[in-house]
Order: sequence, then structure tokens, then C-alpha cells
Amino acid sequence: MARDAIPPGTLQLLILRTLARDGELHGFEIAESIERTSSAVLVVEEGSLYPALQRMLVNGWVIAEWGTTGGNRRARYYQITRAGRKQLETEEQQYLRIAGAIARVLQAV
Amino acid sequence: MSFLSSLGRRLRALVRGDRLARGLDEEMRLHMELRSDRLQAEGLSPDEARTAARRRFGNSLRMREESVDAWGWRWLEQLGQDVRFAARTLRRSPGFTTTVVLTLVLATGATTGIFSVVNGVLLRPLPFAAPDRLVQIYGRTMASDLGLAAPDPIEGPVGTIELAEFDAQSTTFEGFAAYDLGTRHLDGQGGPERLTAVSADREFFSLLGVEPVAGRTFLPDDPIDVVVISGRLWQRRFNNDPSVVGQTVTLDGQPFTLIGVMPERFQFPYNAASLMDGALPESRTDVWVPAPPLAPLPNNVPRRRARVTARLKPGVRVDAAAAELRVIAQRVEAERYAGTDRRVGVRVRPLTEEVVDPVRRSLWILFGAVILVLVAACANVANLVLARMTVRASEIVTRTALGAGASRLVRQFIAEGLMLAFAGGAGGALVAVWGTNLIVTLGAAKIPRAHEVTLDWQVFAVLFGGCVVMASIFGLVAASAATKAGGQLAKESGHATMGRAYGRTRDGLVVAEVSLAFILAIGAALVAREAIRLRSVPSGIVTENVLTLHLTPRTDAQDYYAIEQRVAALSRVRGAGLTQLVPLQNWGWNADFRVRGRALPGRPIAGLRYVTPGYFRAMGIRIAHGREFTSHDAAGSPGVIVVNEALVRRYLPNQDPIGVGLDRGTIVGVIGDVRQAGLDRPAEPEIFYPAAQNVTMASDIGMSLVVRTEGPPGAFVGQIRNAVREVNPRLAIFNVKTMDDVLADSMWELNLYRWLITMFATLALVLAAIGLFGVMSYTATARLRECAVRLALGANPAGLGRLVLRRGAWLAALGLVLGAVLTEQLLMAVGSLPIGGRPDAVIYAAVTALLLLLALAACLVPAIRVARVDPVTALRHE
Repeated sequence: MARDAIPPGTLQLLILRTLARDGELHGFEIAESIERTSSAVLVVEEGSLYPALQRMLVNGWVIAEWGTTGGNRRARYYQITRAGRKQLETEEQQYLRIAGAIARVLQAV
Repeated sequence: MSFLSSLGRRLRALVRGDRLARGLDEEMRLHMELRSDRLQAEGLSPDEARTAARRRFGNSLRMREESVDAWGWRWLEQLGQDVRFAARTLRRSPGFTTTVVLTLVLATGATTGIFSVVNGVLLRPLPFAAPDRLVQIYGRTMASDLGLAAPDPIEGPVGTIELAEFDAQSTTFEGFAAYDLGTRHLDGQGGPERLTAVSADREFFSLLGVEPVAGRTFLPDDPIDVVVISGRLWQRRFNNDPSVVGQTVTLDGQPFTLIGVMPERFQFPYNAASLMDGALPESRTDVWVPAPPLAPLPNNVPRRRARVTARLKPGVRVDAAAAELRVIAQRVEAERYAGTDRRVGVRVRPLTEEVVDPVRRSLWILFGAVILVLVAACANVANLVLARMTVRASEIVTRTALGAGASRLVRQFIAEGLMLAFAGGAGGALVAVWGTNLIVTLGAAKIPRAHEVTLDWQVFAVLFGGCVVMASIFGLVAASAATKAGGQLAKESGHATMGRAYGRTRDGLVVAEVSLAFILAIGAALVAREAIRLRSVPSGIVTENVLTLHLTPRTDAQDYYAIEQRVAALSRVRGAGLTQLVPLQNWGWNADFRVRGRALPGRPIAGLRYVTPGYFRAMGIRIAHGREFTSHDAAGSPGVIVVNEALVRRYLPNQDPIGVGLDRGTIVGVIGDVRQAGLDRPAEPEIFYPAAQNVTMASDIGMSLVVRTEGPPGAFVGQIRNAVREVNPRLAIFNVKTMDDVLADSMWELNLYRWLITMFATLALVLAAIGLFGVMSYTATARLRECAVRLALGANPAGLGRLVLRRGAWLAALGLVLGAVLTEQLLMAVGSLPIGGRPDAVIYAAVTALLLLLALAACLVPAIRVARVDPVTALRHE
């Protein structure tokens, strides 16, 4: 099974999208969710989630709250904010625009 | 907006910084555990699972750091590290730290303290409305009327006739307010209290432009029996009770209506003590009462003379106003005093000058001295810091090699400097508070405006800011030089490089320190010489085991004589007597006299003293000729007087003074001279009356009881109090002092300056010694290897030690020469010093010797180190 590192700069986008879809998640769940939805193709260097989440907290795109996991462990749950959704929209459009352009270049004969 | 909310979140994160970091750890640990659980479920062994989980997570330390970085507080965290690091480093070199901090503490504290006094007394405007338009007006003094001094000084009170003319004719003045000082006794529980009273024109308060804190001040139509009291009296006697306004108080047995209270700070006139020629124990004024209106006297006799403060019209210059008054004065002299020898003079001077002139020069000189100390302190700190940099070169090399960035090094040096500055500043604030209070307390009675002095936090802030800036600059310079030198050092692996860079600077700093110490030591030596001189001056009295007590209010001669007899009869009392002016405490009270049947050149004047028969013996005054008073010199018997030797020398030389008739009585005795006004002021002619023959002439300030005891006089106060009460229960006793204390108090100014200047000089000397020691130690260390080689080649160890000593002596000598030149320059600039006169060869020699000794002592340890160096150890060490 081939695993690819995620393209640089897209980790934030992936986290935001995951949170927007799944609601409240803790760090491990975010990593799992990304891996699962990408059919195990995209692998996150799992630790790098945390600096990214902190940056997003500073920017107010997500909020965090301590909660309890199913296994009765304390975990910090992240939730996307309104500002986060706006940021997600912007980044998504920007990514799609670039990806589309790249795809067009590659498909041109 | 989003920036602000982001900042808000950051600040919250900063406040919860610890929790954030701990939370991160917990989150990341959970993540790895969950991952490992998952992998175990997939079939890995626990160990394999943990390793794989860690691998998939990545470098958790880096992640944690990056996460914390996201909040943007990394620099603060690093600052915390820097500070902790600096604290550790400073703790490791306690000698350096203590010296620098103490230097900063004393320098900032002393400078702030002295400047607070200078600012409060000399620089701040007087607390009156438009104080620059207030002037003091002087008339010709009695002494000059009597032809004693020429040219006539015009520095006394103004005659009422002239004043009325000034008021009527002048166009440059808004108004004049005459006032006089005296004492009044306030009746109350616990007996009467003596107050310093000012009787003033009703325009007095409005002319100064001051407002009361309760009630009102004088109105133009106020009767004569109203009184305004000081804030201090209000607090002391009336508990700050506003309802006392409108009540009746009793002054000298007369009812007065209390109409107002002045603020605590208000004081007028300022130098009350000196205006009463030492007759008042302190300079604060307590009550103000309206003076009787100025009424020109019909026979042109100027019966009343008053101190006068006036207000100029806006825009009028002092000299223009003075010129106008002089014209009026000449007219008054020609019209009103024609045919008499009375002359009218007038002088106008800004009120501020009148108030602060007595201490202006002394305070500025003290300020100059403290600035010298500050400069020496700065030089010393710079010197120490440079020395430390040199020593730390190898540490810097190591740290640079381990990857410390230049900016981080700079920050660490600055952190170190700042810690020193803060510690020094905090201590300095304490010293400043303490020192200012001390000076104010010591000088309360003598330094005008002392009660207005408050600690000047602005000055402190400036000095403290200076320390901080200096610390930062040192950090920068030191770190940049260190990093630069570090590279070379790494190659050369010696430690001479940085030494060469700083050597000249440090030598210069040491020379400067020595020269400053020299200047201050000369100052201290001058004051010490004066103190020694005064101690050997014959005061004319014997101060040991003598108690003085002031009795108030005045009573009749019978009471005074009865008190003297009763107290003298107490056991272990050797003698007792009363005088109205205690030597070294009160003086003044001069009047003219004539010798019957003979004309003396000029018009002789003498101080008048009223005493009881036992006084001379109790005070230990020598009877030179004739006899002292006895109880037979009573009201009914022929008028007799005793004079002092100064009077005989000046007015009755080459004859037997006993039996000479003066218009004030027949001389029956001559006593030895007593320094009445101060140890530094020679005795003036004096005439003593027996109190019984002249009690009505005695001053209204009451009389002082002088008691000579066997053993410490403090134990006798109770008995004496009882004896006085038995004679007259109305008499209160206060100002109880031993004569030794009176003597010490009379030298307060000298003592204050001696204390301060000695402290400054000691500080400068210690700083210079530390500086020299530092430089020589460094030289010794730097040349240790060279010396070791020389020793190994057969050099004489003592010779090597002398090498170090010689260099130290050379630096000290340079400093001494510079100091001597600067001292001469300063003396030329300042003119004469208020205390101590000019330094002579003895003082120069003594101070030079002291400094040289100190310099040699400072160099001795490094020299011995060089001489005793073991070649093998030193070379191996390298």
C-alpha cells in the first residue's frame, strides 16, 4: 500500500475540512479521519498536527475544549469556528484553483 | 480587529502558559498511546507498537516547541531563561555582584537624596502665588547706625516711618506687609506651650497669595484679637478638628478668636530661627496675629521697626523698584530726620534669595560632591564589567562553539546588566528615602524649607533609567567585542587579546577614580580640620554634667532667685543659675552703652545678658577680676554690672575696669570670654545684669535654668521639675538639654557636612581601591605566564612583585596629579568654601599619603600572587 506524505501547506486545509465535516475531534481522531477519508493514501506526520492546531487556535479558526474519550481518557477536542469555516472556504477555493491549473498543465498535450 | 482578538487569545495563553504546555504534553502522549493501542490490536508486540507509534508521530520535542512558538511568546520564555541564567552567573561571582550592586545602591541613593534636598530647597518655587514678584525689603541695621561696620550693611528691619512713606508714594509695588516675630504662650491642659508667633499686617496673607485649609485669614477690618494657626499646631493641639474655627483660645492670658488654619506646609517667615538670632529652638512658625496698624509717631522717633515682605507689580524689575524706594528713602531722611544722625537705607532683594541664600552654596557644593561620587561609581562599574568580560572570554568561546547565536549572547549580557541595575535601583530607592529623611530631620531647624523636601522620584527615575541604559550598552558592547574576540581567541587560545582591547580604557577609568577620590578626600580633610580646630577652641564654659531647662512663661525676679536657691540646695547639685540666653544656643540682644564722664570713639554696643547670681559658677565661667553677683544686688540697691573681657579689651583697655561707671551700671566684675553665638565666632562685648535689678528688661522668651550636677545630669530632671513647681506651679519646663547636646547642636551644620562629605570621600576611596585592585589583579593574571617563564629563567620573585606594585603606583600617581589639578581648578571656580577654608600643604600631603597607601594596599595582593607564582603550575595551567 503506497503512502504519500501530504503536499506541503495543505495540512491546515485538511484539518479544517475534517473538523467541518466531523464536528468535535481530538488530535488522534483528526489524524485517523484524514487517513481514512484519503483511503490511507495521505499520511500525516502525526506530531505536526499539534503545531498546526496551535496556530489555528491563535488565529481563532478552531476552539478547543477538554473532554473524555470513549476509553475514558482526558483529551482535547477541537471544533471549527465561524472564522475557521470562512478560512476553509478561502483555502479550499485557492487549492482547487491551483490543483485545477496544475491538472490542466499536466493534461495538455 | 482580528489582530486584537488574536492578541487577546495570545495574552490568555501567556497567562495560562504553564497549563498550555502541560496540556500539549498530555495531548501528544495520549495520541501516541492510542496509536500504540491501535497497532497492538493489529498484532504488533507492545514494544514494537510503541516504537512505531513514536516513529509515526515524529520528533515530539520539536513539535512541542513549534506548538509553543505558535503563540508567539517564545522570546519571553527565553527572556526567563536569560534572567535565570544571569542570576546563576551573578551568584557564582558574589564579589563582583556585591560590589556592583552596592556601588549602584549608594550612588543612586545618595545622588537622589541630595538632589531631592537641593530641589526642594533651592529649585522649586516658593509655595506662594507668583513667588517671583515677592521681595524682601531691608533697612539699615542697628549695628551700622552705631558706626560699627563700614560700609553700612543694609540688612535689618525697616522703620515704620519709611515704610508708611514707601506704601504711600511708591508706584512699583502692589503692596507691603510688615511682620515681626515673637513668642506667645498658649494656655491649655498640661500647662502653657511656647509658640513662635508672627504679628503681621492684615494684608499679609493676601499679599503672599495663600489660602487656609479651614476658616479664613485676616480681613482688613479684623480686630486685633484674632489668630490664624499653623497646620502643625492644629494637629498637635486640636486634633485637626475643623470646629475649632470660631472658638476662643488664650494666648499670654488674652482671649483670641481662632479664625483659620493654614496648610501644614505653610511657613512664614522661613528662617524664623535666624531672625530671632538663635533665640528660637526651631524655625517653624505656629500662629499669626494682626499687628497694630502702622501709625507714624508724632515725634519722628522710629519706635517700631519691622521685617517687610512686598509684592512687585507685574513686569517690574527688582532693581527698578529698589531705585524708586531709594529715592523715597532719601526724601524721608531729608524731611523727617533732618538734624539727627539717623540715616535711612533701603535694599530690595527677591524673597527666594532671602529664604535660601544661607544654604545655597553649601547645598550646591554637596550636590557637586555627590555627582563626583556618582561619576566615580560609574567608572568603577564600567571597570568591573570590563574586567569581567575579559575573564569570561573563554566561556563565550565555548558557548559560541556550542551554537549560541550572537543575539542570544547580547540578550544574556543585557539580562545580566539589567539584573544588576534593578537590584542597585531597588536598594538605591531605600537609601534615597532614608537619606532624605535623615538630612531633613538633621536640618529641620536650620535648613530653610526643609519641611518642603520630598523624595524626588523623577530624579530617581532618571538615575535608574541611566543604570538600565548603561547596563544595556555594556551588554551590547561587551557581547559584540566578546563574540569578535571569541573567534580570535579560539585560534590563539590565550587571553591577552581582550585585555589589550580594554587595557587602556580600564587604566583611564582607574586614574579617573583616583582623582575623584582625591578631590573628595581633600574636601573631607578640610571639614575634619575645621572640626578639630573648633574642638580646641576655648568656649569659655565647661559643658560636662550641665543641664539646661527653659522656663516659661516669664515670671518675677523673686521666683527666679527662689528657684535658683531651691535647685542649688538639691543633693549632688554643684550649682544652679538662670540666664535668658544659653551660650551656643541663643544670642543677639545687643544695645548701646556709654561710659560715664568719658566719650568713647563711635557708639559702643554690647550684648545684654540677664542672669541670677549662681549662673557663672553653674556654667563654669571664669571670674577674671572683681566679683560675681550676689543676692544683695537687689532691686533697691545700686545698679551693678559684670562685663566680659572682650568688652574690656575693646572699650576699656589699659585700666582697671572694676568700679568704672557705665550708664547701665557700675562694673563690679569681669568674666572670661564665652563663645555665645558659636564656637567659630569669637566673643563679642557683653554686659551682664543681675536679673533682680532688671527683670522687666529681660526678654519675653523667658529664662533658662542652668544646673551643674555630680554625675550624668539626665537623672536630675525630676527633682528639678519638682523644685520649680514648688516655687511657681504655673511655670512649664521644656527644651531640656545637656550642655553637651547644646554644644553638639550648635555644630549641626559642620557635623552634617562632615558626615556627608566623609561618607562621600570614603565611598570614592573604596571605589578607587576596588578599581585599582581589579586592574592590577587582571594585569597579574595576564602576565602570570610571562612571570612564570621569567622565574624559571632565574628572575627574582620580589622584583616581579615590585613590577606590579610599580605599575599600580604609576596609575595612582597619575590619578593624584590629575586630582590635584582638578582640585585647584574647582577651588578657583567655587571661590571660598563655606567650611574649612583652603587646603594647605599639610592637607595635600596627608591626602596624597593616604591615597598612595591605599593604592599600594590594593596592589599588594596581586603583587604577592605574581611573586609567589609556581612556574610549573602556571605553565601547566596554560
